[in-house]
Amino acid sequence: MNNPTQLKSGFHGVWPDVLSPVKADHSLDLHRLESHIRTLLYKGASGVVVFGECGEGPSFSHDEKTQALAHLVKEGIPSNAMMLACVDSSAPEVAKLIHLADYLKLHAVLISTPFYYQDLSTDGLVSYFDFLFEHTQKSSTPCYLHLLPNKVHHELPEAVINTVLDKHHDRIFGIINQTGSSSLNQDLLKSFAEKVLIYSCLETDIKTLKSAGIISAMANIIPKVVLHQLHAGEDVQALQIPGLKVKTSDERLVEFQTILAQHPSIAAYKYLLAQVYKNHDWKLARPPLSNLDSTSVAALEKSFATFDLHPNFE
Amino acid sequence: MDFSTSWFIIDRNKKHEVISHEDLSKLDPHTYTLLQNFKSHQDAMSEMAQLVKQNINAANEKIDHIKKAH
Repeated sequence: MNNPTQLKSGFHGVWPDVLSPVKADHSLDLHRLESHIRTLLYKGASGVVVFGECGEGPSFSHDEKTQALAHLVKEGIPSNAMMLACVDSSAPEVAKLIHLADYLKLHAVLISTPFYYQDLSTDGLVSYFDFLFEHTQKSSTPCYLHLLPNKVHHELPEAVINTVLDKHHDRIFGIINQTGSSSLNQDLLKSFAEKVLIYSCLETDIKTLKSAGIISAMANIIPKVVLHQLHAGEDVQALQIPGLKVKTSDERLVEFQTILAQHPSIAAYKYLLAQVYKNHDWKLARPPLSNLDSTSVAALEKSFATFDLHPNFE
Repeated sequence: MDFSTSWFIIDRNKKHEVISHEDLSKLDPHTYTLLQNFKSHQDAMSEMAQLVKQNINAANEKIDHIKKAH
């Protein structure tokens, strides 16, 4: 278990890994993005992660990210309620994003390993992080090491994490595990819990990890259930949802996870959000992702109807 | 974040409505479904217009489908 008294103060609460709405021409729909974030904050989210895994981060250019963040801040979304996922393979581009986050006074940045088409050495990865921190020395924005699925990102070996934490301990506030691996959470806790805060993005792991916050994809659709689970701790109370058999937040999360497991996750989340907001435009994904095919749509609609979502309470 | 000047789109009695935060807070949460939150009345109305347009298109598609079937 993390002991925040010995560590830097990390983020608290539920931070949805926010979906990025696109228009028919695949450009980012700034107004719908703003409204979605506003709705999530109203429903109890502490903040949001923009351009992360669910936000199709690698699909958007630096200019698009800059324009979107400037729009959100201008329209009154509190800058300290946003974390920016800096997903890129070019260290100078990631450094630019860190500068942007610093300029806008965002809550934090999430830094992942680069995409690359050959194996990367420990020295190479350490040099990559050295470059980032040396080129953003004046930044006061907290950084989190962001571990993403290995099929698209290089694994961040423990040796690299150790070295980077030792060299840049003043900048790194925590490690965020978004690989989808529960066992990695345990490994991270064993190895690094004394040095930094460890966060998981698996909603069903909240109780085990006992962290004060979570970055959650499910929170795009069921923020209140994730919030309930985060605050319930060991003593999980049943969710009081009118018309629904009394269930725990645990059970609702597992039900929801089961629905999504059969489908490409981002397209499925967007489809469900289109159902929640009753706006078909939310179904659109940006290439190289594609929208759900008709077979997936039929299966998803059927299982979502059984799930019987109550947006006011979940 | 202050939501007191926000506007909302809700679903009530199978109809979409634009409603202020003040009015929303007076409603029993079991009587409506909250859809989305907006900064201004204008933003909420603009979304509402889009939703209505989408519903009309969906209805037209259904009518066309029925016509073709007969």
